[in-house]
Amino acid sequence: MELFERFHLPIYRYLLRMTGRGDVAEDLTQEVFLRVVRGADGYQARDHEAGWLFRIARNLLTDWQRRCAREPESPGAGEPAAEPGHDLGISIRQALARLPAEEREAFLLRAIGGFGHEEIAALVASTPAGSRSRIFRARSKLRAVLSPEPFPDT
Amino acid sequence: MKAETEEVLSCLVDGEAVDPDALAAALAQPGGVAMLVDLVRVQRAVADDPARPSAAFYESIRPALAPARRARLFGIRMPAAAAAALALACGLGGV
Repeated sequence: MELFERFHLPIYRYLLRMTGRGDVAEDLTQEVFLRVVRGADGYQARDHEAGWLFRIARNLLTDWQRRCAREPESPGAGEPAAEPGHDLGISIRQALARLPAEEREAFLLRAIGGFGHEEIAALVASTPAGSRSRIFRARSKLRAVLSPEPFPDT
Repeated sequence: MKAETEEVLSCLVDGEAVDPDALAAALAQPGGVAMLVDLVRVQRAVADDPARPSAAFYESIRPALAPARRARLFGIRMPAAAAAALALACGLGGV
């Protein structure tokens, strides 16, 4: 399945960084593509595949977040994602996890999804200016990781 | 460092249209170039995320995606596959 090959990694990484959980990110990514397979016949807008897939992913993420809010997690369920990569990347991704969700999401949709502000605004029900502002704030906070000052708590 | 400097450089990193004069002013600020490099580093660190799903994930999902593959395979290659199967069956049947 071509869509899977092209998009499963960005979608997995988006979900991983939004949930902080590798097991959950895998489950949700799998569900994204199962929904695609089930509904693939009805899909025609080939120019907007990425937006379509990320919208499914985001809806699943929102459902998962609602379930988490309703059902406190049992101890030991799921482990935080392992962090491969070099030190700077790890530090920045850890800082990413501490950003407010809306800033983190906008930044991820830009950096991982490659979306423009118009597309991000449509995905997260905001405005292009709102997207730009969230990304700017996120980037500014992440940049603090590179400086000697401690990362500000948000 | 002015907030406007960071904003201009952030827009540049995002690939947005930036006023060249504003960009020149931002880069001329003390630390302006270093800030641009930092912003690019941050962008790359997130964009180059090496995280991948586990092997179990792929084992689990590939069969689930198989119907779409089968449909494509049947649509394009079924005659050849059928011919090969038929030839094989005939050959075996003759033994």
